[in-house]
Amino acid sequence: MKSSTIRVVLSHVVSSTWPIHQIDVNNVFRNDDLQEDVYIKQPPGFESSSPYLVCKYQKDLYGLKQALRSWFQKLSSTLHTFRFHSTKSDTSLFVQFMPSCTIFVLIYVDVIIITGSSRHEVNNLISKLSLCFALKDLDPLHYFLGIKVNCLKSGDLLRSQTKYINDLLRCMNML
Amino acid sequence: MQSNIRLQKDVSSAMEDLTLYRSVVRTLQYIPITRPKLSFVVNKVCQFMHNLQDHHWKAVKRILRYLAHTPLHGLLIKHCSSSNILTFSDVDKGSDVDDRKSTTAYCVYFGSNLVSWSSHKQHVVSHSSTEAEYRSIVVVLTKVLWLQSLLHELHISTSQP
Repeated sequence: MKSSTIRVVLSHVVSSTWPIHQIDVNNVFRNDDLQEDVYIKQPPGFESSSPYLVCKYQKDLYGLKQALRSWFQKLSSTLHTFRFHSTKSDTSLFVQFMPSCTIFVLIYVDVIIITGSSRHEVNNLISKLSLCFALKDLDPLHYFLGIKVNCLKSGDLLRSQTKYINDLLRCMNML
Repeated sequence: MQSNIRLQKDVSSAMEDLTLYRSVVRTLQYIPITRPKLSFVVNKVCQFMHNLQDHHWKAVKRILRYLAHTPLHGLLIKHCSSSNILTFSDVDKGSDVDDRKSTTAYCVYFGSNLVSWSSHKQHVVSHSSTEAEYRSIVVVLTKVLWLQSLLHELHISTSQP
């Protein structure tokens, strides 16, 4: 996902006062079965008598290259069944246009942002997704990709990296 | 960074603690995500990772002092009824004193919100300021075309930039 995409979508959301939800998916990489065979060397402490034997993965594990791809495939095929399609400009932005409302879904690995013109339809989608995955609904957007999102009283959003800056300054003994 | 200072390769003594400089600069690279104002300085100090001098470190410390006084600043996304695309671009021809390459900067607004910006050194030496400006315009134009196609896909109508 491009950072410009997030800003364009957020800008549109603020201008049209749409509801916005952030969702975390729990244990992304332990949900899926592997599509191909992946072998690893024997981990230290579990060596068997023959040094030529290797271990085979049965489930996806965090850090596997295949895990990310299979997770995205699983999520996007689920969204396709809900009649969403991904945009050409940014493949991790999914949209759905219905006569009554419009829904945008932004995906960054296991963090999903859902927004749309109808609060009812957004909640509907979240409940449909929670049937497929173990979700955690963090109602209003507050922390996304390490950037704090402050919702101001006027409905505007202020995105800031105060914690990141303070951590840096603390490392340099400037705080 | 002070506007009258031009960072260049060899004018002062080399820094001793390279790892510290590199780790701080690496962390700084993510700051312009919400602080467009710092794009230029952060990009500039990144250009000297391989050949560090004392005055580069001073520039980094100045950025850190600025951040220490303004940690709450961020990028505001505000309500806006218009959906025009407004673009500004500029070039500083031959600004790099070592290789005379030009520096491009641009920012793209969607309505009143800043959505895309950059400041970076061009890859080739331009022979004239016109050439440098054209290179800069091409960069920003590709960005605007991408933005237009995205907005078209999202069914958001815009007027021509």
